[in-house]
Amino acid sequence: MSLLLFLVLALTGAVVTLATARWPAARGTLALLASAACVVVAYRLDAGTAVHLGDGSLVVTHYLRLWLLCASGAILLLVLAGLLLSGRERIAPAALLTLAASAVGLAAPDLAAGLLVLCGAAAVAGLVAAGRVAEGSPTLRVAVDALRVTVVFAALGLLGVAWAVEPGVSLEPTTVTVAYLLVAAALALRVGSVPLHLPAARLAVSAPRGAVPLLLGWLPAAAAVVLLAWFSVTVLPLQPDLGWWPALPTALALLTLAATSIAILVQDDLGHVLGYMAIQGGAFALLTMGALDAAAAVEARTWLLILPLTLAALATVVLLIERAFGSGRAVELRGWIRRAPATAGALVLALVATYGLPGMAQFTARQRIAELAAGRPLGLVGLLAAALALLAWARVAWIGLQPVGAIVHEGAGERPALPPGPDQASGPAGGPPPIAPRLLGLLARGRLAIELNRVGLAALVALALALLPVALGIGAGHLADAAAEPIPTPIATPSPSPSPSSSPSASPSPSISPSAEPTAEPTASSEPTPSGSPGPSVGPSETPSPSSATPSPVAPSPPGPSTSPSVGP
Amino acid sequence: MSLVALAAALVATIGAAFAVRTTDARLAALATSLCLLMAPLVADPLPDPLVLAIRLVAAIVAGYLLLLPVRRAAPLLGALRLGGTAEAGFVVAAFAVGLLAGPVASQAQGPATALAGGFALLLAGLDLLAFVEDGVRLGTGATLTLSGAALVLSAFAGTPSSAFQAGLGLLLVAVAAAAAWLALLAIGTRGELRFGARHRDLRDVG
Repeated sequence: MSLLLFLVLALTGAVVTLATARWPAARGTLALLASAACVVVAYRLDAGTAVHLGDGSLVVTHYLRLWLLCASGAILLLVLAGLLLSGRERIAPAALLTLAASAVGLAAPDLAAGLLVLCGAAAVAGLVAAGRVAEGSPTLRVAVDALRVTVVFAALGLLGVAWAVEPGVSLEPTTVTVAYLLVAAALALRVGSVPLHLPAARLAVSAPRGAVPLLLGWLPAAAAVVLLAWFSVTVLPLQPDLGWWPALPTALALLTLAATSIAILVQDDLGHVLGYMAIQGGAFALLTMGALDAAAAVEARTWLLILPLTLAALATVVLLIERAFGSGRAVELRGWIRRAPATAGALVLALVATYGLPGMAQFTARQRIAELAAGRPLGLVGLLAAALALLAWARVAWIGLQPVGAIVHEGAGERPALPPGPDQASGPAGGPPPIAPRLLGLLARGRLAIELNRVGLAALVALALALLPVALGIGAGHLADAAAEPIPTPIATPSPSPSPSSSPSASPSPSISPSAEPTAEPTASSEPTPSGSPGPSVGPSETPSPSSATPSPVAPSPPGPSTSPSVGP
Repeated sequence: MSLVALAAALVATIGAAFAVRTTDARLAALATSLCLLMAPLVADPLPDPLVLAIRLVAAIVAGYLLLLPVRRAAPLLGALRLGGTAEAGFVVAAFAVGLLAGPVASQAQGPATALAGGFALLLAGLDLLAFVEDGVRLGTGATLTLSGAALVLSAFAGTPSSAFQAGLGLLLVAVAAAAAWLALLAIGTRGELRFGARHRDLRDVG
């Protein structure tokens, strides 16, 4: 299926759910339908195709397909959990807009354009944080700061890309250094690295829990993927000598890993803990900038898809605890595991997905990024510092295993409850009742059963959400291969034998390296299009894209992001 | 040096300086619209007519969105930290610096006027973004910052692609809409355009 259909569905869903804000029941149903439709279309996307829009194009890669599938699935489950727990849907427009922006941002070969679209979505989605502004509430200031961060990030990203927009051209070391530092600063701001962490930390607390994975997970991760793609195709092939400057992002990232662990350890509020978990995960993107290694960039792409999924699972667990027991403070949750064992299981799975176990993709990715950036001993120290946060979760679990406290006792547990039995109605002649009343009765019993078991059902949703990143980590979806596939760029390089019918799954995906750069997106004039739609298309058209299907083993010149028409398609 | 680009950069710079200097929210929004209209013309060669149309529509929509909150509250705002005039002077000085630095920038592929206009808009935008406490000038600062950064990019990389221009147009509208919405929220809760006190303590949040 076409990426265009995905975009239409996501954008239509965002507009419709925004327009139906006054009718919560309709909005919830529409949000579920739109998210489910996005899941189906994302699953059916054909990797290796491209959608042409005017003189631009959007290239579908395996990584993009996996990203959209995971994001759509996570958003569907987040919406479902929100509906079950609060009966109201608050994040659907922002979530569906995030999906559409991610599709454009990650599929656009013009990386600067993709960055702009992602920032636009972040600016609008950040308004979710201001959704419950009241007189004297600081949430308005939090939303204002989020907008400021988005704008400054976009400006820094553009300025960084501007300095080194021509890949393959020998740049002065000073030029490359300035570009590198600007992009590193942009990345540090977007992922909330220490000391720029306050806006992100405040956003995590003031935004609705369901929106935290969007604002601190999916959107920053997509932006980081785009910036790291620029880094991979523009700076790394030059093998620049940046002196001691790469130590700066490395040091900041290591500091962030340690400082967030300390913050998590001293925090009692689970909302704050969730925010610092997001900041800690984002530090690995900054660490990648310090590594100056193509392998680290590939591992970062792996990690940046798993991170938002783990955040979604953790956010659902925190929301469940807060809604079920009316408190998110660890000290007030004595015995919560006894009343909510499935939620505890989801928490354990989410933590396993975050930190990983030996052999899992996230474990390998975090370890390799840390070691490549900081060396073996220091990298391991950073990883251990990050893992200290597990002590805080162990404390939450220990409190949950204690005898049930007063607050938890009054809360709603996961114990299944059945609705009262059906009325023994009979038909007019003493026979079986008519079919319509029986169906209506069954429907009413079903709704009552859902009403009585909201927490338990939401816990099952949380379990499903936590299983997603675990499944990715143990090899489902071939995430590692997808992360290593070439990055589409607008530089046209001659391909000796384009074979549009082949797919990356059929041929081994080359890793990103300075010597094996991706080929270009298909140009309308030079690439064969089996669908018979060559030439500058006015309307959208879809063609197989050799850029991800047949990466050339050795590219004549390293491609990169460019906004110049002279190097564009 | 293209005269159209030079004139457009000059007008954009004057507009940015005026947006920094004025204490009337309506005039700030109009000056911002003017800057956004002129920014795509600071290029050599000029972009396609379709791209220009996209940027034109984006500039008008962004300006309209920034004017929306002004209808519901008093438009008079406080001056900036240095009083506005000094900051407007810095904006003009940034233009001059960009104009002088453009020809000597070794990597530059675009016109020097783009660097000059970019520096001026960036300075004005960042100034507003950092120091203002109201929604209209927040939007003004945000859009000027982004336009300035895009101009600097075009100074180094040449005229941007259509995809980039379309993305920039979308971003400008999105940012203006977000700032306008925040301003409306401030009016709804406080009765004025200002956002109110800044909370430093995380425990106050939520």
